[in-house]
Amino acid sequence: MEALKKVYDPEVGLNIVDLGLIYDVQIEGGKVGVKMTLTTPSCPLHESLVKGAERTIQALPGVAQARVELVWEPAWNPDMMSEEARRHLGRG
Amino acid sequence: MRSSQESLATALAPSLRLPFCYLFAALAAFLVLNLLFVIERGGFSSSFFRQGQVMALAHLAALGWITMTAMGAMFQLIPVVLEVPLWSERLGQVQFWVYLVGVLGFVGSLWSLRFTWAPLFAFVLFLALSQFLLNLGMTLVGVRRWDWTGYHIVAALLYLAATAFLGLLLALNLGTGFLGPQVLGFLKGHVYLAVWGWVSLLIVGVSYKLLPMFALSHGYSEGAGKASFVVGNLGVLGLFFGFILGDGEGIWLLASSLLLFLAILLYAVQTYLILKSRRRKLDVALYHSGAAILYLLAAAVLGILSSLGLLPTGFQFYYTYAYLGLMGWISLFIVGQMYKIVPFLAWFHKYSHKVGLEPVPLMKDMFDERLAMAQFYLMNLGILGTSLAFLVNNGRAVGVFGFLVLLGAVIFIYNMVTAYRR
Ligand code: HEM
Repeated sequence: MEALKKVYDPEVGLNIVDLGLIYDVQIEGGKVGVKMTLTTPSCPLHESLVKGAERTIQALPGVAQARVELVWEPAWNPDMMSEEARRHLGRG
Repeated sequence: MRSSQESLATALAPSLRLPFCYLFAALAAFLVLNLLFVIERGGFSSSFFRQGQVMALAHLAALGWITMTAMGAMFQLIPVVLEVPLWSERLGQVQFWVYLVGVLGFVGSLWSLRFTWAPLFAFVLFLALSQFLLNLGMTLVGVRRWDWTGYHIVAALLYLAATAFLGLLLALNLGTGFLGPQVLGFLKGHVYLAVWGWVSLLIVGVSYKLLPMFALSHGYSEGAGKASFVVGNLGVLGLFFGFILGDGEGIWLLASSLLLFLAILLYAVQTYLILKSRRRKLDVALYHSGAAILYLLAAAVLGILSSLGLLPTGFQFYYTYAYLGLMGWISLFIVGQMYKIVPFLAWFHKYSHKVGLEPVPLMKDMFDERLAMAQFYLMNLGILGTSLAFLVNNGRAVGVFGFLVLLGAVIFIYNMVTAYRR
């Protein structure tokens, strides 16, 4: 999870963890499965963020296989952002 | 699951070259437009607006800058927003050249008063716009999930078709005068379909997607926007048929103007609701959009006062009105969105595949934000000043404030080029 904080949404200027885009992380041995969403289904950054997350996990020691799945349920809303994210954006 | 998601995103976005051809040609047109505007300043105060240079400037703005950007942005955004691949990238590429020849030839013949050439190039433009409409039409056939932005886009494209057809008739009329005294009705019909029907509906529809996305807005009601769409279409169609069939007087036109006015108010309310529920500070793009909507409101108030007969008639007023609409509302909105689109495209191209492997710049690092804000204030000063200068019919002041807008345009283009190269 900490590692994923290195993946930034370049539009908002926040990392995907604090933005609340990561819904679930499952670790089984060397396999890591992540469920994540995006702020809106028509987000043009689609690919970059999903693949970016995948590459980040893949690069971690001890990870044999990373799988990032994009989900839309439940839909993201701004209340999912962390305290820190809200402070950064200036409008809770 | 994952692989299908990925191929979706990759397959949908067209190559970078297609949107960038259009966007950079549009930037060049914007620069030349503002330059010619300053040069031409004296001409505005002394003559009626149906005059070669004025028509040339109007179309350099409408076709070279506004419609050119709209097409480039649509090639890029429609596949992403409506989740369909573009029908033909090749056709889009071919159309670019046909359209470019059309714009240069048409604007050139108007500017140099060679009216016999205008119909020829009008035909070339008509051809290019038909290619565009075919391409987008075939693309939209594949859309599976329709939403309000989609409805706006379809309506805007239908209005573009009608605008182009009327434009062709008007251009043929320039050489032959076959429309007789009815030409004024056709001219007004053409202008309203173009400015509200085509450009504004497109902007409005797209802004319902982009503003909440950039402002991280959630949980606002959408009723005002939907009502605006219905009322605005009735208003613009009413105005159009009133101008074409009638002599441009009477209760019918007044009612249609009121509907259009109401639609604009509703749109302003909708954007207010979106921005009020935002979770982020306003950024450069949102500042531009907000200011643009204020100019739209100003133009709408002028328009409704004139329909009610509360303003003196005269060309100064028409200039102010047209300027507020084309520069204040449409151009400022486009400038703001370009601050999102161009850096995004450049970023996507260069850094997208490096996310997770090495640190990549944020979107706002792609250009100098403080310079962009300086440009915002400079342009607003220029636009406000030029509008007032038109109102009091002072040609020299038009030139001075026009120059501020020109400076703003230079800074803006500098920022775009920086973003592209970074
Ligand atoms: C095929 C494309 C087009 C052609 C051939 C065309 C042609 C013309 C012609 C010939 C006139 C002058 C009529 C007259 O005064 O006798 C005119 C006026 C005007 N058109 Fe277009 N037009 C086209 C597209 C557009 C578009 C897309 C827009 C706006 C987005 C637009 C905005 C205007 C405006 C504002 C005027 C009034 C300017 C003035 O009278 O000085 N036109 N058009």
